[in-house]
Amino acid sequence: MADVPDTDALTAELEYYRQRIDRLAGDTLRRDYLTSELRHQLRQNRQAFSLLAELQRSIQLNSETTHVFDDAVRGINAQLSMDRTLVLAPTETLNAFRPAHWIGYREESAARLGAATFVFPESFLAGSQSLLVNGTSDRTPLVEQLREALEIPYFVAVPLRSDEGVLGVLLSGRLREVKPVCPPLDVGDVDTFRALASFISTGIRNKRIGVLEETLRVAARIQGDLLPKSTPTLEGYELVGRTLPAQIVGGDYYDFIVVDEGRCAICLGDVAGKGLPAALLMANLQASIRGQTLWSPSAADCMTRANRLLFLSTDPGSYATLVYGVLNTRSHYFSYTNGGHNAPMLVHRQEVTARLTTGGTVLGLFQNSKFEEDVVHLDAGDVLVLYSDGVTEAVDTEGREFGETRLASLLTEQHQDPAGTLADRILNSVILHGRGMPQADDITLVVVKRMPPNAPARRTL
Amino acid sequence: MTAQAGAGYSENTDSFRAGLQAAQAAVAEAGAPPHLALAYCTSKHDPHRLHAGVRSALGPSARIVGGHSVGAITRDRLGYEGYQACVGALTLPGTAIHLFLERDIAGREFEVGRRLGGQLAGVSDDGWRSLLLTYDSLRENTPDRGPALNLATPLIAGMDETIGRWPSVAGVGVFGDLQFNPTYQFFDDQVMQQTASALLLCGDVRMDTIIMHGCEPAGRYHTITKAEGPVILEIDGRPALDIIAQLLGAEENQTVEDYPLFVTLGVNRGERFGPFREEDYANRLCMAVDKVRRGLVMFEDDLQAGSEVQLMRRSIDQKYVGTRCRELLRRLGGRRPFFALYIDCAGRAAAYCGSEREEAEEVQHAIGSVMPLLGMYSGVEIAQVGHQIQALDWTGVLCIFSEP
Repeated sequence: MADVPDTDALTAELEYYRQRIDRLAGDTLRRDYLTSELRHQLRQNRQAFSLLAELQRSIQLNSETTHVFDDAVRGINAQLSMDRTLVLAPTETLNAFRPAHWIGYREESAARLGAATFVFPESFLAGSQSLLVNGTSDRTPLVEQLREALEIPYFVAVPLRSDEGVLGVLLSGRLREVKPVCPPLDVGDVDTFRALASFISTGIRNKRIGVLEETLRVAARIQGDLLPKSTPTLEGYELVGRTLPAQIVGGDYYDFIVVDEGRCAICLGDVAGKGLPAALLMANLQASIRGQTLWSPSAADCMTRANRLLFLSTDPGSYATLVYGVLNTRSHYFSYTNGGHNAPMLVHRQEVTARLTTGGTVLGLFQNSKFEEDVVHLDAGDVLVLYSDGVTEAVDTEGREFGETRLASLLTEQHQDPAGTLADRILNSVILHGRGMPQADDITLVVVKRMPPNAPARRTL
Repeated sequence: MTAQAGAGYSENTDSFRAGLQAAQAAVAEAGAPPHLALAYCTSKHDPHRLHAGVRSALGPSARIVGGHSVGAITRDRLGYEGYQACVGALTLPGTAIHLFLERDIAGREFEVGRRLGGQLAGVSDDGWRSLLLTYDSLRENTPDRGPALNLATPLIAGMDETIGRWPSVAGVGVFGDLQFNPTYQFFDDQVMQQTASALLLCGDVRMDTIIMHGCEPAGRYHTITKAEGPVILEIDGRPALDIIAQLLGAEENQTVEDYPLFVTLGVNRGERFGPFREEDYANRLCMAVDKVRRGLVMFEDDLQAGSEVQLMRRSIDQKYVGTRCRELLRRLGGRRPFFALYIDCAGRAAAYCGSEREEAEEVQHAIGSVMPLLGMYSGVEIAQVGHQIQALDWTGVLCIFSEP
């Protein structure tokens, strides 16, 4: 007789399989959910990286911070599934910020935004805190004010900090919390926004540095163009100029201007300030001097006119010191005037016998300044050195200046050197003196040497 | 003169420019002034400004229909959750374009359907008849009650009473996002809410459709024992939420708040214990939970007491999508396809369903090389299943427009 299936056993078996199926189905669905959640997070992370790339482009392309902030709020809203994003800009009131860039608002709401002001606590602005507002967050008065005025119930806010202070506050959020597509904002979102804020702030700072460096490079090119491209060959003389800027762009300037076959104007100056403004002032001074040199070879006349032009064409407070003279290679007289500059030294027979102090005040400050003129004679072997204060005021690690005495000693000891060698020796001595200290000022000098009789002709560079 | 079409896409965050860019691209691809434009954008856009941008590119005479969507698709672009916008431009010589509008759908889906069907029944043009329905999926979303939907099932039932013979049909319940933010619809130069519209094309142009699901049963049959409208209150005699919680098992971090847009119930209209056939299943996605009554709020209200359902798991077969696209192309016979519209359930997007790739990429691959493609991510899809017009969840409805 065949076995009759035991109904109870079959029922039990059926129930067993039912439970197993339910269990397996539950496991499968839970894993599906987890996979879905992870993929959603992964997608958001990918989009965050895309956003960083977008911001990088924006920072590179835009020279104005305001455009970067516009791109940032747009990118964050689009890529991070946010409904509303703002950058609040600092106001004149301490720690108070006002919406300056936003997205996600209809026109009627947007019109109200600019009037709202929020005062953030110092700890938040210092970067030690962030604001995370989700469905379970505490509602401080500031949070309530932000929620109401900005019409964002759930948000993250982080400061945009740079070396110069707080650039603004980045705030972004959602109108609703809906799992799994828009889950409640959490610490992961705070980390994302902190990273974004840091990226934006750093990018802006680097951009500013880059712009500054580019400005300096432009200024350096301008200044480079102002220095003599070549040194004129003067019968019986060696002529050399050297400059070592303290920054990319210095404030010192020298020039050689051939007036005619027997005369050459020589000048060395120092304009106030550094960087691009100094370079532009220098360009202005050079143009004035060059123009006046060709018009009037008189040193005093040239300086008087150049001063007037400089006064009229520059901002108040722009000024320069300048020594200007005309060397007559036939009579060997150097007629000069000194506009408030370090007095050049004349070395005659192993001694500094003259300081070229005659002249007037600095150029550019007063419209009608008058300049006096004087003359020195250069004998064979004499050396005339024009220099900027960067030479004598270079300090060592103990704060001692290189000084005029040391310069004078060097000149008396080495005056027999060729002009180029002497110039380099002075330069090296100054650099050695200031070793271990940052170069505080431009170092510039011009050496004019009348060749001894029967000396071989040398062209100095 | 033959029908021409083009599709344009934009992710510009400025709504006017987005509309303008997408429409300009669509018109440029069509190569002729359009008679009709289909325009869709996400809820991040200001719909009025976007519409103005579209209109400025199209000129004053083109008819416009469309509205919000969760995302946009064209033959080479695809995106959602952001500032996506897309426009399809169609030049349709020899085809009559009829647009009908009914307002105030909220709570009156059946009546609105009856009136819309009545208007459609009054059209006496000859030729092929193709119908695109558009309605506002979201009735309201209040902080205390949460989201409530306008239902397609009674809308279709209402139309069924008055329309007479159904034309070839596809439809979209518009959503602007999955956060249930307010939705808008475009109807010529009106930007509105709580409407249902019907675009009827009569003449040479024919619309063929095919549907693609993407779920398979993950468990045994259960019986709904109590339901009220779209809310399933009890399954197997117990509160629905309790049953789902039991089936999914205890998970520390999983709560009932995780069920919306995840829990999917399927009804098998085929052989009960036969091999799985996707086309036999009607799937319903959970939209929200009713914690007070321990119920599941579904996207439609057709799961009532006595319905046998299974928990479904998402399983989009990418190859199957391509196969179905090619199947529809074959169905056209010798007709010339010139435009494709893809109504794609937002839940099918990779970020929401957890798939590795976008299934819409398969549609782009299979269709985009043949003709201009316009697609949008929707809340609810409407298409013909068997002999019935049905509201669908979790479905992709591909429509191909062709002419002799």
